[in-house]
Amino acid sequence: MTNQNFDYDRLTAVLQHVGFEVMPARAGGEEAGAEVLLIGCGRTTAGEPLILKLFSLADALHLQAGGQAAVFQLQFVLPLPLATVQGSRKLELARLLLDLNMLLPLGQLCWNPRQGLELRYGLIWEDAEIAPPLVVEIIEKMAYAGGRMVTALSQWLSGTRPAEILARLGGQPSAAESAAKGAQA
Amino acid sequence: MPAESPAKHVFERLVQALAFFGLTAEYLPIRPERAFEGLRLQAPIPHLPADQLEIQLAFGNDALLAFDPGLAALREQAQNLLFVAVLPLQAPAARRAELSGLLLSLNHTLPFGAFGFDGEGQILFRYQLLAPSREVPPLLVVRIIRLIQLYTGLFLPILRKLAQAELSLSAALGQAEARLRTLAE
Repeated sequence: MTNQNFDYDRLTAVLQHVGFEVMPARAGGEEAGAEVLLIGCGRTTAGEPLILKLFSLADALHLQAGGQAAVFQLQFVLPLPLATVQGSRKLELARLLLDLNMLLPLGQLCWNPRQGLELRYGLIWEDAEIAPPLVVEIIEKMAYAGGRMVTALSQWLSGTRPAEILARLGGQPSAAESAAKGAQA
Repeated sequence: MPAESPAKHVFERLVQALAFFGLTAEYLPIRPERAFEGLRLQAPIPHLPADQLEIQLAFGNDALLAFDPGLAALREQAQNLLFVAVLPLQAPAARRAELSGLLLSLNHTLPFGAFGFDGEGQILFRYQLLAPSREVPPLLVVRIIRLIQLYTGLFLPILRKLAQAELSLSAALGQAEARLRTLAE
């Protein structure tokens, strides 16, 4: 499978070479027939598999105006029972997810109404082919961050306060926020 | 604190490219009060002539090294170009929960980047572009800035109404969904 910016077969070979498990899209699943890679990235501390989905966002047409941009989305569904959270806890969770986003070095947590909590990153690129080693680095960073986010949110589900969770993660302002403040100085 | 400038030529090239597209950017060199270099520009917001978006760019590797020189291995990794757009909206403390709900929903729908808050409740849009080197294509940077302007123009009016309690969260979500549909048209 290829498209203008991306050679899925080449990426599959590189990922397998460095030890990732690349799985075929499930027949009849929502990915069937699409150019998508499902990449096994180990398991959470609770034993749940972390599977990363990589695909092109070809329907993001507003990105195409005036050029040949491509967006590749990399997504983990984080295996956490958050759908049952209700009321004020739900709004507290939304705020916590946004605060956790500010601590992430790459990507963001967001809520998918159909699948639950996702960690995802949209790689926007144009013209030149995206180098597979770069994608490997993104996957490694996301797998690491995904594991940490599962741990942090499991603590929240167990009753730990958001401020304590953020403090445990370092409480250090994200590079982005610091960059903003540094630039304002 | 690093004395040398690892990316001045990159930022100067970006200043020229942005000027070609009508955006005036300022290079921010390393200074005692700012341990890493960057770029700052004021960008107009579509359909909101009274407002401006302040956008800052910096390499995340540099920002993290400024916090902890022990992370020297970051120099060798893929370069993380951070875009932080500061929206002209401070979230009132009493409305942050509702605003979090809306921002989280927007983040799920957008193909890249994420809205969030800084520590003081200022609303930001941030994106981390992972690139194989610091030689990021200037046109790609221009495209990302244009998209950040587009997203801000679409959603800032709704965020303001929600912040001022002129809309409920469910009404704001409905309006945001309607605006998102315009992106695909």
